[in-house]
Amino acid sequence: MITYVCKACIDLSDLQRASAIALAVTLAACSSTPPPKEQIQAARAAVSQAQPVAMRDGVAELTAAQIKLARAEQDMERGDNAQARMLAEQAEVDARYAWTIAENARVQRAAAEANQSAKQLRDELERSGK
Amino acid sequence: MRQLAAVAASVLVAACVSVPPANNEMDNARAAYRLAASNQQVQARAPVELQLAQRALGEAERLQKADADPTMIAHSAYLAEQRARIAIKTGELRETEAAMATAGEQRSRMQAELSARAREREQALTQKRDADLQIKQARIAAEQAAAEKRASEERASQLNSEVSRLQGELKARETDRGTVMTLGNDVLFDSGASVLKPGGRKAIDNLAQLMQKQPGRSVEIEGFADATGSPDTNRKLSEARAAAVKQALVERGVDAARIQTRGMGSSFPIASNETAVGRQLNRRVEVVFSPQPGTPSAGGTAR
Repeated sequence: MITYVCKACIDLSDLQRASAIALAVTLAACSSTPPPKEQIQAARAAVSQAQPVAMRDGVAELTAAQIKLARAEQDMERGDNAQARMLAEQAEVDARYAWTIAENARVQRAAAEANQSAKQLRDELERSGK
Repeated sequence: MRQLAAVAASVLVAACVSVPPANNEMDNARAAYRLAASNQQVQARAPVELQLAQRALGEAERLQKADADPTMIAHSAYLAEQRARIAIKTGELRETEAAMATAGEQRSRMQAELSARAREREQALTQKRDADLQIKQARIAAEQAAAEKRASEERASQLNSEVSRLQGELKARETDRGTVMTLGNDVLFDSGASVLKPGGRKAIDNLAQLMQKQPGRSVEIEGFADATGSPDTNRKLSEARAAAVKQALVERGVDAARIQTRGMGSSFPIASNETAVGRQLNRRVEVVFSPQPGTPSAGGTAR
């Protein structure tokens, strides 16, 4: 839906020249957005952080983040800064979410192993008496 | 065609304007935030993430209140929802990390305890091995000592019986001067002679053996003569007889330093000098053994 809307914005910049004054007000917001370089940078950083950990868990969220980032980069290249910015912002939170899910799962597994080995140790201690 | 494009564009623009005001997205964002904010784990362990979620939701609420572009509202709501989810997962993550740290400490403690017990067992085992070894060594030493004692008792008893046998053969008698043996009778010397007769060899052999078996004792050899002849002759003759016996003993390996000789002349006859048999008995040698070292000396000269 977002895509549609902002495609509309771009298409509208042609129309703006044609006439519709009312639309000009709406579209001003769209065209006045500067290139979201910072947001894209932040999204890239978050994706890079999530990539090595999100192998099993968080993989769907990471994929979403990667797709959004790629589209944000394309949109920015095309000059659709508003769309690029939104996608970049979403890509960043998606990647952060992916990292948190993956890290969470990793630590849970490690904790389960630690509990297992702690249990073994406890058993060993009980066997060794005293 | 141009007109068609314009129409299509206007439809799209209309869509842009008439999009419903993102109520769904806002509801999701609010629900996610409530979930995060009511979670104690999140409050305690992910306060920064919770604050970011709160700020994102505030922004979405502000946009909605300002009746902003529904696309922007939906976008902000999405960001807020994701922030809330991140906060929840972060709280969970940090809780697990904390639990793991605790488990790690417990594990270290248990491992330390286990190693300590293993060391104690090892020490106990070593001590027991050492103790067993000592007991074993002590037993071996005791057995060896007992065996040596038995052997030495055996040797002593053999020696004693041998000594008794030899003393018996030499007709030894105990007096307060010590053990006295008389070499004599008809076998030792001819009248007036100091040369040992072959018949006395057996007695000399026995005497030499006896002395070698009792190396701590020294002997005094006393020669005697019968009353025939002058006292001076008899004294010399008796001395020569004692010396002959000493010489025979030394030839059989007895240390000369252990032997003293004396000539007693014709004194202390043991039989009558009136008969040939009596004189024969008086031509004799007596061997006096000093007391065994360590036994009280009787002293005196009585025979």
